[in-house]
Amino acid sequence: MLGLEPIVFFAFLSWPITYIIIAIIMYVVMAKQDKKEEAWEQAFEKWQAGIPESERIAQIIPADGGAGK
Amino acid sequence: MTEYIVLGVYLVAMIAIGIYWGKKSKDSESYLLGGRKIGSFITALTLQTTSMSGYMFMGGPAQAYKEGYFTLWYAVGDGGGAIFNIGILGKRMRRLSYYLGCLSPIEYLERRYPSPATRAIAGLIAIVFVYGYVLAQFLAAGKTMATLLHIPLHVALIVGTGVIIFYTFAGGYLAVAWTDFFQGILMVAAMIMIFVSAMTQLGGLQGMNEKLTALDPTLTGLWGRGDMYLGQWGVVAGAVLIYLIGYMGLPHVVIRHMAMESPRLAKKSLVIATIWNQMFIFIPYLIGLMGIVLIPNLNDPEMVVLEMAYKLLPSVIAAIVLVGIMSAIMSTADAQLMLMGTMLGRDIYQRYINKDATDKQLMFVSRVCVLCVGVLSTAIALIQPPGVFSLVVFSFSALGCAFLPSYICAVWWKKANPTGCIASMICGCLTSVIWSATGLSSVTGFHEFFAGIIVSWAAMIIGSQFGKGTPKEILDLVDRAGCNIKLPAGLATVNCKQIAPETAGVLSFLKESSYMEENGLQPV
Repeated sequence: MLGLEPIVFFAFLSWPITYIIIAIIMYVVMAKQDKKEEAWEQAFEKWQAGIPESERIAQIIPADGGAGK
Repeated sequence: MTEYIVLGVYLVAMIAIGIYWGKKSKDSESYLLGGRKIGSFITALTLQTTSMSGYMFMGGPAQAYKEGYFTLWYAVGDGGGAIFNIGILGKRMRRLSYYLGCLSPIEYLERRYPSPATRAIAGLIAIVFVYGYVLAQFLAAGKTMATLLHIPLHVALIVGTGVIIFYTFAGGYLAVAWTDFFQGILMVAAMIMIFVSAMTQLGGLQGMNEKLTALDPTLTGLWGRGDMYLGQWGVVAGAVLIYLIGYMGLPHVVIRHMAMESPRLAKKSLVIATIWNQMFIFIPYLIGLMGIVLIPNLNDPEMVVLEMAYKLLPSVIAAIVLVGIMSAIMSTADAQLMLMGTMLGRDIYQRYINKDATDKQLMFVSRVCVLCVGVLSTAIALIQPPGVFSLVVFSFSALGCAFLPSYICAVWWKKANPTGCIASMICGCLTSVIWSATGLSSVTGFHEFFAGIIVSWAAMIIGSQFGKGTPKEILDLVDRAGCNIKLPAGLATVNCKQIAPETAGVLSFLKESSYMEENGLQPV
């Protein structure tokens, strides 16, 4: 294979294609996960808005980073 | 003369980017984190160019020139680094850092593992070893320019580092990210140009492999020239793992996740970064192998890429290769310099010196710190230059071993507590330093990174069984970052695609008909 023994070829030169395939699979999996998370986030916001402020899951400091404030 | 012109144009372009983005950085969040508005393309390239230093143009090809195909084990790990880094940390770290309101990767650790000791120890380790890394990159930039342009080292150091300091000082994170983006394109272009012309000369990969085998069959084997690593799977595992997972422990790399515009960009960044990796990472090692055939008996193997460029390409293109080398060095150095400014400003000045610092004061102090660290590093490099690559490997290993388990467990293991984090940082860093300083690597056959990372994980797991647990409000945020909080039953969302077709049909009928409106119901 390209002048190499098959084991050497697969050990070294098969990875670029393999990694690109893994990245595409990851993209599809993460896209599905994103949809679920988006729905979850909307429901979470709705839930938080409907309960007293003292019971909400608070952020440590404001979402803008709160630098110097 | 061509080299001077091409390099001059490149350096001026970098300065212009610094000035442009300097005007856009209005507050500390935009200066230190690009306002968390970095898109998927820039995130992908800044992440990868920050990870790849001048080593990829000099150290990697030189090793391939000396050891043959065996060196590609490093590329095998490195090629998948982005998949691990973005896949494991990307989204969750972006969310958690936002919920915790952090601007620096050290502040992030302190808020996730709340203890006064966390920031003190993490800050100390990061400042010492990132500084070592900055120093190494500055020196590499100076040495490269001095060697290639035939100018004195001190002139090269002052010009090369002066440009890096200027655009980081002026433009902050946005300038660093955008210069990284252009530098990433230059790095790939430079490598591909040499690769294609060398391939043409050798008759493709097959031609190269046949010529290498004719010279010495062990060059195209699994175990290196003369089978020097025969059966040493521990060495192979270390070579693959160091770059496959190591980047997740480097603060100047993981801060890129925090600056992403949205967690949903992570998937696109992962694909772009992986494709860029495949175009860039394997090629330098293959060029090193081609050098064995095309330029045998090279005095300094670290110059193999450049020698090939001058041998095979017109002088203008060879000058672009020189710019590509400078890009690789500068894209790592600027990120580390920026991180030093962020840590000294946010984690030291605002935390210990002036707790009520205003946004303007913080930005000013961070800028001054970038300038001071840059000038100090240049001065040390001028007076007493240490070895470049030993300093890089030493610092990389110590940082990776200190922080990797803490960053991963921060978003994936709720039981991880401040005691575990502190134990992991101290034990991992010390093991790596002692292993390296006492030469235990050659005695045991274990790379210092491999030894350090095992100890660091063990310390995290054992340490987290003791001491105070993490407060509930922090754990709630960790759950929120992973979208893991169980919502009240009435609010559970149902996606039409996930339910049975009959139910989906009924739901769509109800939505379309006036039934829901008449009865005052809202679709979920």
